[in-house]
Amino acid sequence: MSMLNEKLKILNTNQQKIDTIRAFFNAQSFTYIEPELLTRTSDFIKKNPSVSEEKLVQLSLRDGYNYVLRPDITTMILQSFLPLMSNNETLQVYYRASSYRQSSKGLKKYDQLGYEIIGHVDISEEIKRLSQLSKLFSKPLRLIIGYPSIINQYISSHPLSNTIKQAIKTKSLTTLKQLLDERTYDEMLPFFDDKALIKDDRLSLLYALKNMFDFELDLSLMPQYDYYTGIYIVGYMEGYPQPVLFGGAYDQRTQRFDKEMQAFGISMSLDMVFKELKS
Amino acid sequence: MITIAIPTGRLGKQSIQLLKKVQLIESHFEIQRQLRYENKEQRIIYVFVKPSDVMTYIESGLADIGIIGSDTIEETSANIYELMDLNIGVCKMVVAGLNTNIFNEKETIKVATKYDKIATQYFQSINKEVNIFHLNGSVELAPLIALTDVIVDITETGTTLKENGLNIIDTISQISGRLICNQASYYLKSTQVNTIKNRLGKHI
Repeated sequence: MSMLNEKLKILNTNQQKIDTIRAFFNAQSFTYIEPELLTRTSDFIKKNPSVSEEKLVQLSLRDGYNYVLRPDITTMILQSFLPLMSNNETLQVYYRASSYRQSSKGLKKYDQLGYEIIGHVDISEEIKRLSQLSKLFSKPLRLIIGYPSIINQYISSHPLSNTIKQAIKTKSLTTLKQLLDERTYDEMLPFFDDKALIKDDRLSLLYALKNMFDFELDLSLMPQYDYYTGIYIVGYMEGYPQPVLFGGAYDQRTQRFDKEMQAFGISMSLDMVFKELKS
Repeated sequence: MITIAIPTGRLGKQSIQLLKKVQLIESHFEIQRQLRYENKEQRIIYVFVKPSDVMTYIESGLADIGIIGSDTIEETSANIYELMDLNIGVCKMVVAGLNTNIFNEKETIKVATKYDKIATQYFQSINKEVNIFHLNGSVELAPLIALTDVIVDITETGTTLKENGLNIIDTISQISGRLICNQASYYLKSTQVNTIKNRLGKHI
């Protein structure tokens, strides 16, 4: 087979897989969208103050404004749809899109497939949806769920909170012991024990759902980004050294757009979807 | 099958002693020039790599578990999990120089180090302005030829520092060998990872 035919065959197979994904989301009343590619740098920074500007891919256009090339898909979706929404409406969208960041080696492009729900979010339904979604893949997708804001409440006012967060991120109990007083360390220790039962009303739903769906609870799981205020989810699959799926609840992010609405989103590696989605 | 990355050098030798003690590697095994060794009975593959490459092997999933100094973990901030302190390869990260009063005498300190991030964080924590000179080796030479005022480096006994007339000005942190794990392996191979962790834990 020629190289061109080989390439065309891959593109056709990928298109069939995208059709499978479309069928999955269309059956659940999701709308396909193409998130905006550009936004003004000043608007993006205002909505995402913790993002380092040097990691953004910026363009100066002839209208005199600086623009940023889609650094984050969720921001683009919130920016496009939140101003149109009333508080009792719910938006369910899915997308296939790339985000762009500067890295030490130049432009880094992240090809993703994902979905977002803004408005009414039912966590039980979302875990059920993820469980159904995972069945579309040829390899098992191991879902890990955490609730970062619970462990964060022990350290949020600590002067070394960023260093402590990094230690939690790497699950380094040795470093945590050095950084925390004995009482706080002892209080946080059960979060690293998957058999410990932590009493917190926010977790009771997850404990109940664990009996119904196949996922692992990891209460020391820390997100890459700080905006996950409810549950945080990562998915691992054999053959992939990093998570192939991540997302969670980010209600507080809508406040930056002057709305108080629930929000939930999941993003998957498009590369993984093309390779592992059942034909 | 699980793959363990062992650093070459002093920490590697101590790691193998420990792995022999907990019978994760056969007692007759001797590290020479081999790059890979398989313990078929325990279903473990060992790969022997440069200390600076252990983190790459773990983060990229080429190995599931590895042993590395805590200095490398602090310096690289890689996406890995740190499972336990193995209490081997114990040493400390220090600031050393010819003049122990240099912090009071100069507003901006010139620092030679292999550990830019650790040095930067330390001097930020004590509100001292610095110019960092990144060197890959013979860091002790820098103050001797007046390239810098101090160095930030690891020392076990302090002998090399003393031999070069350098004095310890402050200790930044205690360094030791840590058991680290690839994040996916932590969940996908949890039974094997925990077995290894627990066996090592009983002998520390």
